[in-house]
Amino acid sequence: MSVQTATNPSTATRRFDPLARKDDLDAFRAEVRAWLEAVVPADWRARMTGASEADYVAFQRWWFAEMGKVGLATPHWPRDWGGADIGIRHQVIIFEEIARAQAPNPDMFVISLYHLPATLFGNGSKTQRDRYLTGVKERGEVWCQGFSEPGSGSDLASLRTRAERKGDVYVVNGQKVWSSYGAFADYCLLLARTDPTAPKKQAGISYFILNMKAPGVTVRPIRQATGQAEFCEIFLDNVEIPVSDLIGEENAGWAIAQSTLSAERGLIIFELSERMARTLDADLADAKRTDAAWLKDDEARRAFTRAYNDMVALRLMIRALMQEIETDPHMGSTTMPTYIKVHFSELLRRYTEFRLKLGGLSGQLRQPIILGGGHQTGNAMHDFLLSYAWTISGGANEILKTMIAERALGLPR
Amino acid sequence: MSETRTLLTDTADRLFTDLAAHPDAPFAEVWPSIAEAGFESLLLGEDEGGFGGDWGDLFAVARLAGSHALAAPVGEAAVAAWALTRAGLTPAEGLATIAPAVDGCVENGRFTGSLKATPWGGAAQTVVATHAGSLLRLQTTDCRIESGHSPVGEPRDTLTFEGAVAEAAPSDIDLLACGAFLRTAQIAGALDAALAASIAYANERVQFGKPISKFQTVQQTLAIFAIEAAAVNSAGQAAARAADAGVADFEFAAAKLRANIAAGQGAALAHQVHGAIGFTQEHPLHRLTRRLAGWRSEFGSDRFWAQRLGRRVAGLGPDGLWPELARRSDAA
Ligand SMILES: Cc1cc2nc3c(=O)[nH]c(=O)nc-3n(C[C@H](O)[C@H](O)[C@H](O)COP(=O)(O)OP(=O)(O)OC[C@H]3O[C@@H](n4cnc5c(N)ncnc54)[C@H](O)[C@@H]3O)c2cc1C
Repeated sequence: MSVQTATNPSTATRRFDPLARKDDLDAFRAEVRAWLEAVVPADWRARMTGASEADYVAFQRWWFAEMGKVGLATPHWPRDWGGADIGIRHQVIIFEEIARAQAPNPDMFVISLYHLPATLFGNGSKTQRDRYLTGVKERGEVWCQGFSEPGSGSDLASLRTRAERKGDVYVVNGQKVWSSYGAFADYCLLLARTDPTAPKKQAGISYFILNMKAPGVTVRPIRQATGQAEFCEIFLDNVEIPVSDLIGEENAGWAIAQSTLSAERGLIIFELSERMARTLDADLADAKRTDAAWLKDDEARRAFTRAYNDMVALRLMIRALMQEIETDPHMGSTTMPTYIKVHFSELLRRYTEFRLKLGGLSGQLRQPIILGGGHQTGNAMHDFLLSYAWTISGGANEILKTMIAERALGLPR
Repeated sequence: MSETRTLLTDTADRLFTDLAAHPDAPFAEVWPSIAEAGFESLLLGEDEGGFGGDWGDLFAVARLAGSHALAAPVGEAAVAAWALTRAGLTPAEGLATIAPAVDGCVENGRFTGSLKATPWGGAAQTVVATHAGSLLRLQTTDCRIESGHSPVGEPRDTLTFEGAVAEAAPSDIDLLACGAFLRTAQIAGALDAALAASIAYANERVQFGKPISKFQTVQQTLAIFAIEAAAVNSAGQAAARAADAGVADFEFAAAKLRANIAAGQGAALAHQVHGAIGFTQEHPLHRLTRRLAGWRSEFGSDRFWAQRLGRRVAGLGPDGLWPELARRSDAA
């Protein structure tokens, strides 16, 4: 696919550098905005509507590289590890502007951007951090997450994929499932059992970096109910993983996995929440401009107001989480991400349903999907159906509520 | 209730089970077997060459179509044939369907306008529509067809007519309400099927060393689901009884509104119990849940029926509601 980078020839020659203006928040914002105006192709949604998989992948890679050029692909990472060393307020500005510009979601890179660093920051070796974080930042390497197995979803600790140490390598056999973006991934965050005799299931699990191109790795895409082949099955047949790609100690994988899951339930929702805020504001402005009938419908007003409140609360929760992370970049608590994931997924369900109802009969007709459009594709039925996934992925809400009850509230087990 | 309902539902169940085994079969292969079984003339009297069925029979058949996620306008065809006969219009040629939304006008026996999101509009030869106190009979040979699809891929075509010959007769038949009744029945069936699938899956799926059906949260989810499905089935059957006894516009409206609400709840609960596997194309659950999501806004959304019912109830005044409800449920 040929990707037209600059939509505005007069700005195409200018080099954008928001990070050079980070001492002045207004100037920083203005630069991010100018960059987005110059770089986001006005027709990207049209081009990604019903696009082929190859075009989608090429477009994702192009967009990630563009973000990288101005230092905004990984701004939330600490500076030592390739981040921009900017505070929460800058990050909020970046996502606000990205949402405002309706820029593409770099969704193919979600594991690379959030799960991987959260895992390596506190637990990876320096060599691993240098090699793999740089790989994401500079070479746009795509990662996926190999946690779930056919028999192990909510009961993740029961996983059976086996890794046996043989000299300098671990030999891995087993099967993973539901790995998002697995078909495009270069690497996988892999959990496997190294000690089947450990008295507690959790104590026999190790955490590996799996090269998806290694011999013995087979990937089969699984089509979702929404029509996209987003997730995959991964079959592992005598795959060799070098000992240097073990993260942390052998059999210490379970605790490390909690860092990955914290990112999956918390920070990952940051960009989504800013986009959602933008959608609610835009929906309201649209309704006022067109004097939409729902503005005078009590029930619709209540539904909208409730969603709006929940959205404001969501953004505050994300900011609280970011403050926690700023103080303790390696970990932060696991409580806030759990709250955020449950809150976000339920809000997403209600708001996409609200939009579906507003769309009436024509809103429910099937339309082609916009790839990389996240939950704001404007295709009400697709966005709604996709919301079903969020109360399940990253830990089913029932499991998370039990975690809140037992761990945060101290209720008896 | 018709004597032969068991015979009818056995036939429907067998046929729809066979058809459900090939969910992607082309419509041209599906429809002949349904037509041959005579479901189109379900509501016509035996003297009219029909089955002599009542609304309870139609509910039972459309409910089965829903539970098998059948991709065919069985109910639409039966209602179209019945409406044409009642209004004294020429019977349908080939497949007939009904239009949920009519936008246009009739002048000197000619219709100009469009019928939006008509189920199998492009496949049908005859379309029946309600317009300004009349029933219209239109031929799809006279229109431009713009094909559209429901969330699960069923045809919902927009038909545009330009001065097309329209047979018309004054009629108080409200096809929107009839369509709402059909969707209520299909939702009732699809909810029962999704509930059964969820129970079976919960008994089969083992996590933490036991079937997930042993966890109270899952049990309560299924219990709420069962209540929703039962409510729609009851409301739909009551609407059928009311229609067999006389005027049922109130019951049709109430049943569709109740069905809409349950469709939203039920689809979400089914997916929650199924976890990730239910979110795949390979698993059959989405055939039911995507239909539920679509049927909810067809033939009257939540808001449409809530407003219609609300106005009517408010119009009864402070002392009017209870006697009216008692009168209606006594009659049923
Ligand atoms: C869109 C999507 C993307 C995903 N991406 C990835 C990925 O990239 N990598 C990866 O590893 N995984 C991924 N997953 C998998 C996800 O982590 C699992 O789906 C999730 O953990 C639930 O597991 P399960 O689907 O097997 O459901 P199950 O565990 O079988 O649960 C089914 C139902 O039973 C309930 N249940 C189970 N146990 C209990 C209990 N003890 N108490 C109460 N209720 C219970 C659950 O809440 C749920 O409602 C993805 C899933 C989805 C939907």
